[in-house]
Amino acid sequence: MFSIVRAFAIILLALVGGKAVAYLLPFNFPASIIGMLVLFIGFNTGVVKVHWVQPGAHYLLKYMALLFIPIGVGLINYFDLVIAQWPALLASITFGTFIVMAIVGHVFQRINPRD
Amino acid sequence: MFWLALPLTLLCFFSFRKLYQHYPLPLFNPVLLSLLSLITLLITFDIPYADYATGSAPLSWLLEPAVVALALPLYQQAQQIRKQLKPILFTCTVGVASSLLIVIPLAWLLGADHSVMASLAPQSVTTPVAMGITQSLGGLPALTAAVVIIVGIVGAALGLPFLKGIGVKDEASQGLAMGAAAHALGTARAIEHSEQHGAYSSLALILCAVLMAFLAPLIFAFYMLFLP
Repeated sequence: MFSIVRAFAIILLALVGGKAVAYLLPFNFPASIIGMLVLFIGFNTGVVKVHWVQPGAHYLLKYMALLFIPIGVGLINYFDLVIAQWPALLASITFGTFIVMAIVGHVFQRINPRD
Repeated sequence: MFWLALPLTLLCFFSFRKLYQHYPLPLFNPVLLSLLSLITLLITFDIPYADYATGSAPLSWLLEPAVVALALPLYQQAQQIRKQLKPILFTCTVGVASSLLIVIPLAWLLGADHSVMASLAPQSVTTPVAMGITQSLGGLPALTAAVVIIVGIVGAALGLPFLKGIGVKDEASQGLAMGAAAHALGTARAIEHSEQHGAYSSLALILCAVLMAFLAPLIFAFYMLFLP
């Protein structure tokens, strides 16, 4: 139990740090990403040990998909918008996805140093 | 409905997860099925979304901590693939930039308005990050969430055969492409395929999310100078 509380406390601390930095930035930037970078720096400098965070992070990562269901259900308020602009939505989902996949796959295949 | 929202969401997600574990078909994606059932339920019983959102808020509060927790796999993967970090970073930058450069004008050409363009721009990165970016661009996070999930389902289902078809044979490149284009769902599929696939895919998932947070506002602002 202690290990889970400690893990969540560290994650929340990093998030609060991220929020503080985001507040000070002159432009909009997701505070959670800054919090992630704060924690990442913590690991790399050895200030935070991996096994302190693991017990809580494990659950958050395992059930991450569950967490965005409530916001996804909010789509219910935008049905008119989806119906009105479906060509743009469909094209961007399909073309966007496959073009990015092709570019990333081919670029890395070309420059990847193999041993 | 207020007090039912959370248990109903959990019930949906965990039953569909069970179903998916037995029949791992892309269309049985637990998030997709949960969204469809909950939306149907809300419409059928004429429940306002605001009531449901208040009741299920504890889940939404955990989104930001979940993004922070991604630091852990990032740290572990970066250790493993240290030698290739530069080419990986370069590839992900190219991937994220090309996604933005293609998606925004394409949506505009097909008649998307400002809020829809802002909602589509970060479509290739993982949902919580994409929603944060959308919000900062003035888009609709709920629309982004739905789009990102569909992108992930399409990418996870068709990604590997597509990559093989266009001549991407290298395992590392395939994994990276799955993570970069189809985020967490692509990564989940890549992990099923092999451990190595999964490592590259989750690294791409996280790096692309960070890069997207930096590049999306810049490229979006750049396009908005030209597109009315």
